[in-house]
Amino acid sequence: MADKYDDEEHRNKIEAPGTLALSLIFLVVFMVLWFLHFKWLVEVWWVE
Amino acid sequence: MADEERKIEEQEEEPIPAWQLFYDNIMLLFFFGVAVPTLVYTVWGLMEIVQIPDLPSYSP
Amino acid sequence: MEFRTCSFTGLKIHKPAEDLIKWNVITAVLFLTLGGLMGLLIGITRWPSVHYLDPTYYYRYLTLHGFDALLVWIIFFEVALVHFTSAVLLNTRTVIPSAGWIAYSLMLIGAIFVNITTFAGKADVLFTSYVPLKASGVYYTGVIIFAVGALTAFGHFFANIIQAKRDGAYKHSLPLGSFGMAAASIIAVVTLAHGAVIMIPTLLWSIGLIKYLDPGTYRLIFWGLGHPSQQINVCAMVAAWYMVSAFVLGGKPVNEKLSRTAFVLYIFFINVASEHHLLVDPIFSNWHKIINTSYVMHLAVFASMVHAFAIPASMEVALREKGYTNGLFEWLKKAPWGNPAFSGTFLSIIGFGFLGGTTGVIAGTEQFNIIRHNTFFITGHFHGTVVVGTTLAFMAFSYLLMPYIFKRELIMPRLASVQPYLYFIGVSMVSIGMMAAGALGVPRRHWDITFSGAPFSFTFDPSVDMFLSIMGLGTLLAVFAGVIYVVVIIGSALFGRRVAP
Repeated sequence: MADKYDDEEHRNKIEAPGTLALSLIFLVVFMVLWFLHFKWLVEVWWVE
Repeated sequence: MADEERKIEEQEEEPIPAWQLFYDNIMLLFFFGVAVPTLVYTVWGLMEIVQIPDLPSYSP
Repeated sequence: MEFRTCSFTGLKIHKPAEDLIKWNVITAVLFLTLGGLMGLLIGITRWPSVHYLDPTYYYRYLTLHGFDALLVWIIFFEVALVHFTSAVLLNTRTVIPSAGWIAYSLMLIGAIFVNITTFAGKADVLFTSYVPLKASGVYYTGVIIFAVGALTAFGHFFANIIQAKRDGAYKHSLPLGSFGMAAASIIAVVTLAHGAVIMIPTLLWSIGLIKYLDPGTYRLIFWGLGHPSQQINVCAMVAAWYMVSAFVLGGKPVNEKLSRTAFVLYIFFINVASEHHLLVDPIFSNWHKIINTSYVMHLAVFASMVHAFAIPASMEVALREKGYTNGLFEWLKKAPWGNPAFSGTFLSIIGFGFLGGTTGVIAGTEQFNIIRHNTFFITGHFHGTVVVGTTLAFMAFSYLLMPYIFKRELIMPRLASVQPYLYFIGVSMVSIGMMAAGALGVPRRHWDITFSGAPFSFTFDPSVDMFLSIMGLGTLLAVFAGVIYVVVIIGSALFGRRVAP
């Protein structure tokens, strides 16, 4: 077992571009869903 | 022979960063892990409960 | 010869640790079966067009569903993970195996006490058992015995890692899987200590030795047990994710410092999530609520987001090393989707993050909580975390334990490979149906949402029926997938073809 982690080897490299892309896709999808859900919630609970 | 081996080992052993020593100290993490929620959640909460005055008519 | 070498992983496995893991896993699965059966009964009761059970049985089985599926199944499995990460993963022995067996027996006795009392109708107090609702003293005794057993088991973890260091099994840092379980064990100690602090006076109150127990204090301390017990799950689940990535794909964390920092943030800050249950409680000041939920808690939420992307990244790096380097997503396409250990883990990450995690953060915000509190939304949220997240992750991990620990092949491997998908779809339907109905105001726990016989009349938006039906159909699918899981695991443990040790 290494005493020191080998994090230095990975510094400043994009080794997982797919996961990066996925995270950005999820971010956008989540923001859209969140907005739509919020809009729906306001419609449901709106009291004149 | 043995001395040489030890020398090589010592050279390979890099100093371990302070944060890593902290993370490896499970008992210290244990202390903070118990202290933080107990103080911030439980003790503070209990203090707020005992500060609420009883109803004048209350008798336990 | 007390050690054997695993032919799959090369790990040295101590025989007593192996036996403890086996018994804890099998017991966990049996209680999952019972909890799942109760889940089926109450799930179809909340489905308006079925509305199966009488109110008495509904609340009784709801109590049992909470206890068996939320505590017993999960904590037994976590104890198996305790022995796996503190002995097997370190290639070392488990110290004082008898302590492991004492813990196991206490947990089993406690769980049986609670189950029998509840079945006998002496404890229809729901999982929360809020005072002044009173159960029989046997119920509280069972909970206390179970908690003491669990505390012994998590204490065993610390004894094991201290002995392992003395034996030279590791020099400075625990492996990441063990580190995650160390975090889980620390959280477990906080949790179970709160349980002891509140359950002992409650027991004395129920048998008449104490006249009065303050409900506000009960709620505060009970949630120091009730919610953090779910944080043990979160930590153990994340540790299982990392281990599956390592065992199935050879994945290593892309940045070990970051992953460990996330676990440390869990240790320090995640337990204050208990505060979410008190957000509409008039006793506590806004400062208590805001500091706990809006500042401290979000440091732990940040940690979850780190894990949610660190683990797929470690999988991607491992798969790219195997040569799947075309484009952005070839690794994802060529990942071992037919391996239930992998697919279960991946679906668990997605479900935990996007069904359970995000909705929990929303519901835990004080301003939103006022319209979400005690609605079905909350139930939907924690079926996203505990069922799609933890239960599915533990199911996936148990598929790995079959060859490693039980030395058996899976029976019906085809069925096993579709099980995580069916379970994921089923429970997601349950979770989404509950959340949508809850957002429209449907209360949680309640047997009769038509409020028949009430002095006022109230009707929900008609779409509520549709959402509750989605939940009901999801329940059926999830239970079907759960049956497949139980048959495959118990069948493999008993009748699976033996593999070379």
